[in-house]
Amino acid sequence: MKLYWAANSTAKCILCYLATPNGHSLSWRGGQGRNMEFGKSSDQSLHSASETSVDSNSLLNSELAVGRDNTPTKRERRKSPATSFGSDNTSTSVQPPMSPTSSLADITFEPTIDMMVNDFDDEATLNEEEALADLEAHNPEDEIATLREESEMPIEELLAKYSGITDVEMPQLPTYSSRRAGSSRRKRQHQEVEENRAIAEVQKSEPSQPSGSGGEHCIDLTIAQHQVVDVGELSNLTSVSAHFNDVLLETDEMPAILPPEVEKKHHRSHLLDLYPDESFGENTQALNSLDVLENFTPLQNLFGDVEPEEDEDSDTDSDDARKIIMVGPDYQAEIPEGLSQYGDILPYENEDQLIWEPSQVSERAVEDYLTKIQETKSTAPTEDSLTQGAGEVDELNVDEVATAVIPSSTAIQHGGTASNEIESVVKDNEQALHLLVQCGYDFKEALRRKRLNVMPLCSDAMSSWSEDECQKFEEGIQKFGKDFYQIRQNQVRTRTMRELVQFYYLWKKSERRDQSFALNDTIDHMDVFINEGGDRAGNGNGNGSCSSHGSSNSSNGHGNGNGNGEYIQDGVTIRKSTSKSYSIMTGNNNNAATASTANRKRKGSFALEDDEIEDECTLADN
Amino acid sequence: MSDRRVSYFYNADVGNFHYGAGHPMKPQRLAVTHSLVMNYGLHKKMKIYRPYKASAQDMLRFHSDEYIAYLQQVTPQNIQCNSVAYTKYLAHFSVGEDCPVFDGLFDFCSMYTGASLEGAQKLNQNHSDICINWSGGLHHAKKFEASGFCYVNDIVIGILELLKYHPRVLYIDIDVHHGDGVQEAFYLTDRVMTVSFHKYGNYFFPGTGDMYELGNESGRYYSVNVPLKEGIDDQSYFQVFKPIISAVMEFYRPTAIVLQCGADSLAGDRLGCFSLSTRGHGACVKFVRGLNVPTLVVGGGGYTLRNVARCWTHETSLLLDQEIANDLPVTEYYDFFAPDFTLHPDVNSRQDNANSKQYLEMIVKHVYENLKMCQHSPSVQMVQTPPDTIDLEELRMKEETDPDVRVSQADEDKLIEPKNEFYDGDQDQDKPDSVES
Repeated sequence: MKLYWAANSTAKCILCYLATPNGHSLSWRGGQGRNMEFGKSSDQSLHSASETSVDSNSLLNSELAVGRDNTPTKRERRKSPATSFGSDNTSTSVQPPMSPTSSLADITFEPTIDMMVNDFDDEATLNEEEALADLEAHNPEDEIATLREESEMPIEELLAKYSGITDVEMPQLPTYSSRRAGSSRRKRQHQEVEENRAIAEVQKSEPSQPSGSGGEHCIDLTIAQHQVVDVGELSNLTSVSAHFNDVLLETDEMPAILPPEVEKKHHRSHLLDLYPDESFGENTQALNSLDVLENFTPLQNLFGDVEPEEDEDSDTDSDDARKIIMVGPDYQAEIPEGLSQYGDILPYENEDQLIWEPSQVSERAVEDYLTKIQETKSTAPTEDSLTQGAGEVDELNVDEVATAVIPSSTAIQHGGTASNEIESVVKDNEQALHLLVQCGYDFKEALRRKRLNVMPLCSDAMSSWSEDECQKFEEGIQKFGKDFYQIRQNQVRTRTMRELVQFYYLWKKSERRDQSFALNDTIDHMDVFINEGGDRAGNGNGNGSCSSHGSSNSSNGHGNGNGNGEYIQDGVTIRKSTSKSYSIMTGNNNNAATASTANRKRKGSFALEDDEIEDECTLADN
Repeated sequence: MSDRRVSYFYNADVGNFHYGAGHPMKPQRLAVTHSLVMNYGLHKKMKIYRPYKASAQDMLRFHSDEYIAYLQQVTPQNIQCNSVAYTKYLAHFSVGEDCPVFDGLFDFCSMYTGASLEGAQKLNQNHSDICINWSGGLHHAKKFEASGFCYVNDIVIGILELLKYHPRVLYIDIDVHHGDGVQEAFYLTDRVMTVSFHKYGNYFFPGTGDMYELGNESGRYYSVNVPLKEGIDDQSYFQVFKPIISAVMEFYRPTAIVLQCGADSLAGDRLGCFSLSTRGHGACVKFVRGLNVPTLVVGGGGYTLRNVARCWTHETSLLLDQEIANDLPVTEYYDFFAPDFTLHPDVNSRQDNANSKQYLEMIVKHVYENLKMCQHSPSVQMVQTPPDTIDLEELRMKEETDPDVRVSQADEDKLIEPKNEFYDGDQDQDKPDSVES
């Protein structure tokens, strides 16, 4: 089952059809790489059908009903094969089939949740249908002509025309008679005269059937077999449903109208004429072998015991490599029984540190304290040789470091006003707060300690970078990109990896970075840009950076230094970086199997890139 | 809405890791977020902890010892050396492309895991009502392997800690990706209900999260999945989120909540495809806060750095019930927020909302039907929990009690300053402040 499902050829799909009641839908999907919607919906109808009757005929009927439900346009489509076969006397075949379950068929179509979840979209199917219709549209007359010609042919000639294959197949097929029975409808349509002979012949071959199978089973198989033939020949399941209905109408009279085998062969060859070799020859070959396989399939497997759900699961597994939630001791967490409480020992080895607790003192007092802390800093800047990490980098950079060492854009932008800002804006300072906590909320003590420069958390605060370190770092970025390990090994040995990373992020938005790259314009420059990827937040940070950026662009021959050129370039780099395609990004690295999937994937990632570019552009525009 | 005690966990080092050039996961976003939180003055209403680092022992509560041992030993260097022992395991534990071995990997894991674990512990001991750990939320990590930028599943470890005290824990996941690691860990139990809202279909990572994944065995109906399609906007999202979470609360009645706030569900995310604004994302957080259940809030995905910082800062303020200005305070990362420098930039997503109203209604209905199935089942014995033998923090306070003081320090600590309190305490005599700037 799996094996056949994996492939797309129509013939293989037929096997699906025969092996499962919902094969119809499966084979439908087979050509298109989609399976969920139809599979599930037809399951439902099948279940409902099997409630009312265990008769496999009705199962098949419901199958047809499903077909109609799911694709309303099939009805149109169904007419074309019907007209092509309907020669003179069988007006029934032109009309929509009247199956016993026609009431079921008339239920209005409503998409299931599954369809909606899985992006059910009938358009693709419609298009294919229409394409097929077009393909057939030009040959009904042709076909009728052939049929007529053959109907006037003496039976001996016909036999001679097709004898070769018949002889080969006969011994292999224990239920061969039923196959011929399946073709009876067409026989009746065109060649009623020959019916009598046909019956005779079939009766002759009747004994080759397995002894156990009763009349009912015979009919079931007939239907199945008939369908095999049809599907293979038309490579179109829609027409099958049309044929199907006709067959079902006739099953009652079946024993009386068994046709000669020639008729079947005739039909096959005719269609071979109609369709291009490359699209069809293979299928019929496969069909033959499938026929053989098919005949050894026990009946109950065809219609009874098969659980559609199982099939679907295995399908999705093999087809999608879709991930499923795993169950087992290797996957689930061990849930403690009932509730428990902590023992005497806390379950942790490393103590945590309370940095700050607000409820102890009033907000205003804290603000006063922080203001004083900042005053301390500004009045005695020389004492603070350490940059205090997160909260303080600004001021300290401005005061001591930035002018000489890190002309960060923040510093430049706000440098002029920084000293004023310190007065007006109370900066929040984690270290100072922690100090306060350590001093038991004694403001004076905290301030005293601050003056003495006894800072907590000194170990992890980042000290300021020397000009030499900065230059080395920039060289490193150009040489190695964002490989901080290499930078540390070869350039800035005085810094830890943590410090390098932190510095990088502070540096990347700074003017210093823009300037240095404008000066040292190399190929590496582009690499770094590429590495930057999607997290560049545009370059709207002040005029200085823009102009330096522009100059770097023009010297590179990219763009002309104006805003547009620059952001297009951004777009390019973004696309490159997204095409790295981490699986979390698109989630479908593993699946390039079906063309449609690949298309979707591509569409998805384009959308992604467009978004990014969009994003960057909107930022740029402002 | 009553004031809730909030604790915030941040290790100053956790942002200074680097997954590698071009990798979308940027721990630095945590440093940027923290910088915003501090500079908005949000510390005034919450306790700030520098969390301890989780030990390998802590991680073993969920993960396998081979895997943790591997994480402890592997470095970019011993992989480069091509020593067979390490490279062999690369594929085995799915460490590689998505989940690279970077410098300080294990340190990074122990920092974010420790914070979640400690947050859970603070909730258990009732020292806090809400614990925030933006560095956590790595919901893809599996028992035996890394997945989707996640190595150690701090959420699972945190929930396991909560289960010591809480009979039923609810996990809510608003990351754009399915919370498969957490769902898988608790797939068979009814003591944890996992609810994930995520993009599903077209092989979007991680590929799980179909609405038919309901859990199994006694955990059947305790995994709730809400598959959504790309481009969902604020209104549609909340239209789904609110009724489902309300129904979950009604039927499951959790005693603790873990909320994963992956910010990749925001519009313009490098990897996500939803169209949520920071406000829309925050609305979910606010709603969960309003449920008045002890909550551990963790981060998660989020790959457009500036938006992650905006989102989580905004959500910190919501959890504190503090209004903060739209204009960002000046921080060392100020230029990341160009050109608007605001907390809530306009969302102009070109992604159409592929979720029809009808579709969303059907999903909600489907989830509701399933939730009804677990109405009577939570099989956790309602045993009275005996009090802790020793409550360390309580002890710490008691020592300071001085009989001569009318209002002891410990009592004063328990008083949470009401928002309409204009006096700064008993000592505030409304004198003009001498040190006014």
